[in-house]
Amino acid sequence: MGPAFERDFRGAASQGRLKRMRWLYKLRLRLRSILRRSRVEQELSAELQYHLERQSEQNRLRGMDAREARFAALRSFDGIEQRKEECRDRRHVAVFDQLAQDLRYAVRTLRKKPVFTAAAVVSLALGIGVNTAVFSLLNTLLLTKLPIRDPDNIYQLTVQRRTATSNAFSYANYRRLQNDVPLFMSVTIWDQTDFNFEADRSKIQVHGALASGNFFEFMKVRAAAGRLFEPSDDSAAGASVAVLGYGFWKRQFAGDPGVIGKIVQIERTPFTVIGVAEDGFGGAEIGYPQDVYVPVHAILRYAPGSGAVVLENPGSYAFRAMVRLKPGITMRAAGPVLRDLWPRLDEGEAPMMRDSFRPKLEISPGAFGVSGWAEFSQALIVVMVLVGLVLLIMCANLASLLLARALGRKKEIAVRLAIGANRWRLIRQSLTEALALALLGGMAGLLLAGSLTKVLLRFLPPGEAGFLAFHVDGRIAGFAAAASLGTALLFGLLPAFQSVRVPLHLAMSESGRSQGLARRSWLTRAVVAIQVSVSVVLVVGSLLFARSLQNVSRADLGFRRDNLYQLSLDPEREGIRGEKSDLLYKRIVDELNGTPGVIAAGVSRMVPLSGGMWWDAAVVPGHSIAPNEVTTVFLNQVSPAYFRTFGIPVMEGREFTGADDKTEDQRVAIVNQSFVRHFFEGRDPLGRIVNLGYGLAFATNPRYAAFRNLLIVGVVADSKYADPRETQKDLMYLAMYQTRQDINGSILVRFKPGVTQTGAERQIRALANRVAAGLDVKINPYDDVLRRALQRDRMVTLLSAVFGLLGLVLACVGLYGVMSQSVAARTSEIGIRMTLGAHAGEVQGMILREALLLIALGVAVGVPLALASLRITGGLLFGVRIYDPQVLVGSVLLMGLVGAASAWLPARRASRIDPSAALRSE
Amino acid sequence: MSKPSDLIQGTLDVLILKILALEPQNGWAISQRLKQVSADVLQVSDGSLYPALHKLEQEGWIKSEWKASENNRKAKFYSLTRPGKRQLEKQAGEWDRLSSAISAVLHLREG
Repeated sequence: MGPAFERDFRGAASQGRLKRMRWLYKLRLRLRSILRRSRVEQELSAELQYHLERQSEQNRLRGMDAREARFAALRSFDGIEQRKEECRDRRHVAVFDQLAQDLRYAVRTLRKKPVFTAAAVVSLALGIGVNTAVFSLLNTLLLTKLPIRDPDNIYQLTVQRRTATSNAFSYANYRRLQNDVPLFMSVTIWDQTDFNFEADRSKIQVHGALASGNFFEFMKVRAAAGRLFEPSDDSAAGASVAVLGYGFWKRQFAGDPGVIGKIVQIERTPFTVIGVAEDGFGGAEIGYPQDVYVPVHAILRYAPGSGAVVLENPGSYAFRAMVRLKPGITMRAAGPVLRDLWPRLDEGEAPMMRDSFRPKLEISPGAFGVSGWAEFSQALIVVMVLVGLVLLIMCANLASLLLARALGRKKEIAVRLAIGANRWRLIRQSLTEALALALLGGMAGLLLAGSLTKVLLRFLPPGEAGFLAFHVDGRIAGFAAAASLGTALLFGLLPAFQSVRVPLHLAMSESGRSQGLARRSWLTRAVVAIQVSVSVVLVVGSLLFARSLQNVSRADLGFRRDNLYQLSLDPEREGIRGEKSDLLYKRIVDELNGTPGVIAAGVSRMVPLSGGMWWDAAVVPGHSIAPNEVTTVFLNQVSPAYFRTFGIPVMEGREFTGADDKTEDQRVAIVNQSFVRHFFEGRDPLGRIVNLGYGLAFATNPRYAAFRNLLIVGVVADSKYADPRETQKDLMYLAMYQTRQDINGSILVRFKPGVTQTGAERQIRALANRVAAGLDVKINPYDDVLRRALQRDRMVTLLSAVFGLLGLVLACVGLYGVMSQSVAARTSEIGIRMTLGAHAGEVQGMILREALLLIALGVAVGVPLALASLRITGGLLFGVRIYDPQVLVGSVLLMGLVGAASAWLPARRASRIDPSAALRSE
Repeated sequence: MSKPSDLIQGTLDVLILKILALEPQNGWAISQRLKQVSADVLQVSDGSLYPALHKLEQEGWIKSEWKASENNRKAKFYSLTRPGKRQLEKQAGEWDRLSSAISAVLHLREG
């Protein structure tokens, strides 16, 4: 509004209100024009009629006769119907009228070509459906904020350590973060863990969390019933209390408010339910909706031994942490301060750091929650790009089809233009047709997306991905709508504009077949070349992923995994603790080792390639540390026979034996060859002493005695530790029975070749029943671990192969179509050539050359495009670079071969043209 | 077709608003006033008047009602709304500024 307006209404609020009112007023007028059409029309006629009459009267008064007066009045209007149309235009009514007309027209044309329509709608439904499905997963994983109040002011803390960035903090860290960092308004921590839950005599496994006393206050979550934790609940002296998640309360207790005050058993320990958290809130972990919350200190009640370690050991990084910043402090400002603060805050780690690497505390937005799905999300982004490309190729196919149809309709269009149709209107008409197709496809796609999501989720372990199940929300529907609209514009715009570029004289001429054709076939060719180039990107991508997966699965792990089984048991859950638990492990292992058909069995704290890591700095007397040298070594605790079980050769010295089981004896360790190369530079490692960790805490605290003064008794061959992709790590093995009171970890057992999986499982179950009846033992083939480690790679590889193939097929269909068209358009030319003596082979060659030229063009664009765009896959590839010559040459050859094959049919058709018939037809 | 150019269209809008600012009028009466005041300098055909009126009504600057005209026949009478009044002030101000700027330029050339 101009200055005059502002003079009248100074208040910004009233100005806004006024604008809104005017907008409403205009809307009402417009609606009236549309809804009460006949009345408005009538008024328009009456109004103009009145004018005509008055003007005629005046003209008569000026001396004209009645007829003349009326004509003069009409003349002054320059055509009364046109004026009426203009009035309607000004009322913006025409647009709606025409839209309805166009829609009717579109539906009519689409129904006349049911095969084309069905094919287009089905392919669009698949294309948009797959895109929507992948987007829905990304939406849940990356784009959905926690359902809490003020989510934008919560921040996640991570520590960038030498080995990896981790989001694990110790309880001591929590104390220091809370008390010693003036930037934070509040800090909360929690640890997700599965609980045994027992109420009303039903015993189930639930998703649980140990949450600090201020957790709910921090999240600004209200109670749906009862009360939530207060800081006083979270102390060694506090009562044993629990809060239920809303979904769990509804599911398990049918939303009964009487559950408040009820005593339930969590980990075989009684807890009182004090409240239920708000509906929709499931904790801050994405993909792990929490059923039951207990205060952090509750761990002392159900697991006094390990609980004390978790709460007291500054190196027990068990918790996730989030903070809210004080008002006026931004994340950007807090970042650099926190980064340098960390070494002083972290008692567990700070004193150890004698090498140059300093861990840094990082702060990042927490509104989207903490996700253990980062790797999967990254792979999904790549998949999203792949399916987007496939949709693009589909659009190109539809565009060529519509272009071909526009060609068929050019005479009709020419006639319509000649009798005065508005070009813009014709363009709108064919765009409406594209839109109708895309909307049908989009709606079908949205319906299809649910099932397609299920197919995608097959790649994930069952039970873990339930939260990713498809549901339509505003954003998903919006995405599907935008995808439909986008595809409609992509495949409809070009044909729409092309359709009206018709020379008008075509309306008159009988045969104008070749006129205006050259230009249009140039366009369809360009579309096909684009298709080829996009499918080259897809093919290169899928070949790269296939090679990468091949490399990973063939990577030398350094151990054997055939006939190997992993047994998981949790005696502590069953109330078996301390020495009794140790004895149980030892007995199971011993009995397994005595079982016929078993090669060896052992216990291991870390299962190789399961993703878990445990590391520390090695201090080796006699080894001088270079500046910037990384002295981190990766640790495992293993029982005797572990190396035999895994088939890892002992190169020097010995394995652990049953005699390495007394804490008061000289503690022993075994290292791998990589460790020897690093720290002993070729000298004999046997009999040398190694310490783990630096600093005062380690030198004096008896808790760490197990990590000091370790005698190397053996050297084993190198093997992979956490990931098949990793570069070889320096490994050190500690004796399981010697270093720790509590044995925990997995039992691993290798059977002799020929023992079937069912046979092995039967034997294990029988044995477990004999040793500890009722103990829950999970048995998995070790390959499951590897499969889980490679799950993401397999998903990306398979999907990229499927979509690469789909892209290739679609591009070939496009190529086939354009070549067929080209042959049809050149029938007479080919006829003449053949009359003049061209052989069938020459004609075929001519068509094939044309096709190959198109393919070459597409490849020339596609290869650089692939090299540039596939950078996003960087982290997902193993042992293969994007510039892999074999992959590139392979893709080009594949594209050329398949493309030539699809052009072969039209070429053959061309060579069989009957010259005399061809010449007659023109 | 005699579609008025943008400049003339804008001029026509101001003229209509100005005429309606004096008193509510029906379409024919407006056309008569237009011919009078512009003294046939601006060639406004009766045909372009009505689309302009409908546009101004759609914008909410004028409103219409059916009333008896001077010879007791029903006619559609247009009158200025409050936003229309402000629009007129704004556009008239712009016209003043434009014309004084132009005349200043013209004087410069003469002098």
